[in-house]
Amino acid sequence: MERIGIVGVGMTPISSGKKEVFYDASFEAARRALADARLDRGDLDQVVAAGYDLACGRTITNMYTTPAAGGYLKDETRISDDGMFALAQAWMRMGAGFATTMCLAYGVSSEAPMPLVSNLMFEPLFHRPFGMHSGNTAALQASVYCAESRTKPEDAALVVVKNLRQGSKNPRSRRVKPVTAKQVEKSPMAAWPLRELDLPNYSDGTVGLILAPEHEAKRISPCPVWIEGIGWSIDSYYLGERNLAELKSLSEAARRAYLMAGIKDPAREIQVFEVAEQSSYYEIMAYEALGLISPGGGAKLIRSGATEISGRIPVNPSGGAMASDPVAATGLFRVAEAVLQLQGRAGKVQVKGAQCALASVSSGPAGQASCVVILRRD
Amino acid sequence: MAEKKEEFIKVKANWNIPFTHSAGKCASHFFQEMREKKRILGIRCPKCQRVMLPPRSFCERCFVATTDWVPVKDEGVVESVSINYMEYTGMPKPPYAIAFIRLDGSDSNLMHFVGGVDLSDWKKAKDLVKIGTRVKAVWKEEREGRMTDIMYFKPVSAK
Amino acid sequence: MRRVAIIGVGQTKFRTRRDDATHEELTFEGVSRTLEDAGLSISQIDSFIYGTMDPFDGVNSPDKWCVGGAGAVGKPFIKISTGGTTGLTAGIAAYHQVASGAFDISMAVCTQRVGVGDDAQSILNTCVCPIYERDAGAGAISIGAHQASRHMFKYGSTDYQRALISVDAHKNALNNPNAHIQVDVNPEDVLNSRMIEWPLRLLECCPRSDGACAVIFASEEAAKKLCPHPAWVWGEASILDSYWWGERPDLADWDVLSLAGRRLFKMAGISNPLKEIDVAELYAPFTSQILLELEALGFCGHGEAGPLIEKGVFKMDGEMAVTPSGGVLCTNPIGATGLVRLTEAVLQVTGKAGQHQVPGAEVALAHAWGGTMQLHALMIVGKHKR
Repeated sequence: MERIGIVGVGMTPISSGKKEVFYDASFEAARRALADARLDRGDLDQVVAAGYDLACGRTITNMYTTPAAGGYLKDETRISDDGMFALAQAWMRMGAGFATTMCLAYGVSSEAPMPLVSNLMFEPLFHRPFGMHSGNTAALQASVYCAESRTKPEDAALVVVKNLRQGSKNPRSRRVKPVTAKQVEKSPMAAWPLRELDLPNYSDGTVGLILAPEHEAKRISPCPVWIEGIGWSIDSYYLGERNLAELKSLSEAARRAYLMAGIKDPAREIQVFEVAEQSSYYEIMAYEALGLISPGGGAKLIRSGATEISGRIPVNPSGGAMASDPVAATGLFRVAEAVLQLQGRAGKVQVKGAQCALASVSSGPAGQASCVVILRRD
Repeated sequence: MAEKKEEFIKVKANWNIPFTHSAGKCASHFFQEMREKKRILGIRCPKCQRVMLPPRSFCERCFVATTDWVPVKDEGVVESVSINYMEYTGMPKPPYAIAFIRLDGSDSNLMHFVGGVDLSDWKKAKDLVKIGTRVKAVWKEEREGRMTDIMYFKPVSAK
Repeated sequence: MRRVAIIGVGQTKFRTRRDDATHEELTFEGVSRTLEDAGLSISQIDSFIYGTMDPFDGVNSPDKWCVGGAGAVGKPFIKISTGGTTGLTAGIAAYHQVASGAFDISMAVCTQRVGVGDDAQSILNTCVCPIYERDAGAGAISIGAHQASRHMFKYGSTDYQRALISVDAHKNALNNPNAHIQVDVNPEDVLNSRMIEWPLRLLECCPRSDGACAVIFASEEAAKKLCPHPAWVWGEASILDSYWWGERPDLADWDVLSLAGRRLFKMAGISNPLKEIDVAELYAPFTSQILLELEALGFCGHGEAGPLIEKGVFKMDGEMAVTPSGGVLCTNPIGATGLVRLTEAVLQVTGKAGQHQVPGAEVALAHAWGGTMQLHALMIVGKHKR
């Protein structure tokens, strides 16, 4: 299968929403991505979109966003999950013959109460009556993980401090202020052990990526970023059947992506990690699932400062989901940030000399499904 | 032993999610003009020159932003029609007729009700609101800035 | 790009409600039938595509719930939702997973329980734009009704011709054990049935159905080992039109389906669709759409479908059989319906359609439309490799 390169990136500003319509945002992101690649709509062979209908209060939302992404009268499909899963499907569609591709994800969190929307993800018989939603499911997971690993709230607070500091420096992130560990520990308790600041920052934002097969990518972009490995997996829905102390689908997705990219020691071979963290504790668990440290060692890694932008394995130099979480686009934003890092265009949050990057996302309760992408520049 | 008839328990559930949809810049201006001036504005694509209704901030065909507002008449021609006789949860009370109407000065068709005529018997109604019928907007007195500020379009020939 | 075969299909019996099973259990039932058909075990499936339209089942992203029923725990799994096209785009997605070389065996699984919602039309209304159009009370039936009224106006098609479409579909469904509505009707029954949305009457509209369907795609090499008589994928296409109905040049002509059809026929090497295709499983929840689809796909000229239907050209024993399964008019589990079309096309070219087998069928077309008549998906399968 021919290599696939990312040759254009377009993002809307990430915001609290409530002003723009999501399809206008799709037009804006698509236009910026096309301009970045110096292409126009006519050059696109297909559009692969991603987004959730319920958050938008409309069914089949790609009816609105795909024409806005340049898909009028073109071949298309829509993934009803985070945009990174759309990237995976787009990559396979290109392997089956499609050329220049727009992959676009729209995240809308401002039009409906997101905890209620995520509560409806639980089936009505066994889980929904208990008021489950993405936040308290993440809390359930955090409490299990803490009990097993003896990770402490102050370790998780370090993740929040790190990511919000980075977010405050990143103009592409939602506007956030840096916080101190004390502020994190004093923020209101959301669902024990998670405080408000331990959870992602629900936002609106849209991102478009232009993909091209290698022979075209090299002509379109001076510095294409190659999809070297990609893997995805899903765990059981039943929380009672899972070991919540581990992110199983994330480690399985990573195993597949590393295998494809020929990565043996991710901590040495990859220089930038963009991980869509479902909570502060999730990021620590992700260190283990991604093989950056052995199981149970996550807290040690954040304490050591290794995952700071100045550390040896920077995680979320963009600010991650703690700073901005446009649900359904958060993962594809991670990919976009990783691309900018590899191209040396990340600005104030640039990690120097990065050649290889990883982006990941999880969706569903307690990281049920995950996708991991390995990116390289020549 | 006689087999007991199986019972399947049913659990009632409702999705009751409040949504607040942003109309965005383009539709907001359109609705304000309707509310304040009883005026319908189309928007012109600077490239293909089509006047679009309802107005959108970009032309998906030419992939450029739209900017020029163009007043169109609140009168036009029915291009297609259906008349509804079934009642559904949360939907308008039948009978009601849905039409796509080409307003004078527009290059696309606007969805709205056709009313002001007796729709109770489809055998008669189908001749009152048929394709090609000229219709004119009937505006509400109290307008809030949404599509229903026009109650319906009424056949010009109807009294 | 690799050649791809279909090595297993299966579907549940479709009913108004399946109170004996949850969404997850229904998924399991559909997948089990498909595995049985293919003679495979679940461990042999490398990756999964799951298709469903969320709001009908009252669960947001029911795919996450149904992973276990699909047998996908620990495996790659992607959720597709594209409206009425969902089922067929799920099939196309699984096809792409294999054609690209990413996986050798991929399964598309679709489950839908339309019966869970107390009123499907109010759910269908949520796909209409809340800012400009939702207040007008349009649902899916409005689409078929407008196409019917416009087609009558432009081409002079008649209520009687549409009644014949309904009669043929119902007769075919009697021979399909999985079909939902199985009643024999005559043209008078159709014409005397209740007016739903003028000009469409009750017997011109689909039911809402519960059920599941699954299809297994395999690379040529895997198929060689696993299946002596697979169906072969000849081509596929998807297309998207404007959301806005008012942007369509004429609702009597499904011009965007014509465009997709031309792309499909080019890929599949079809030059004369009526002669070269033996069976067309068209997606028509409303009678009027058979007229538009036959004309758009070039099976006849514009305005010719009605008279040809009166002549019986598209009956089981006609020149080309249209929806020998009874089609969407008799069975509509919305997000699974497109995959049922593909399943039926595969059954025909593999000679496994039983009572509703079209003798000697070698090439079959599957179609689905979705959204506000905005999206189309198409696939052609053949008995032989292309």
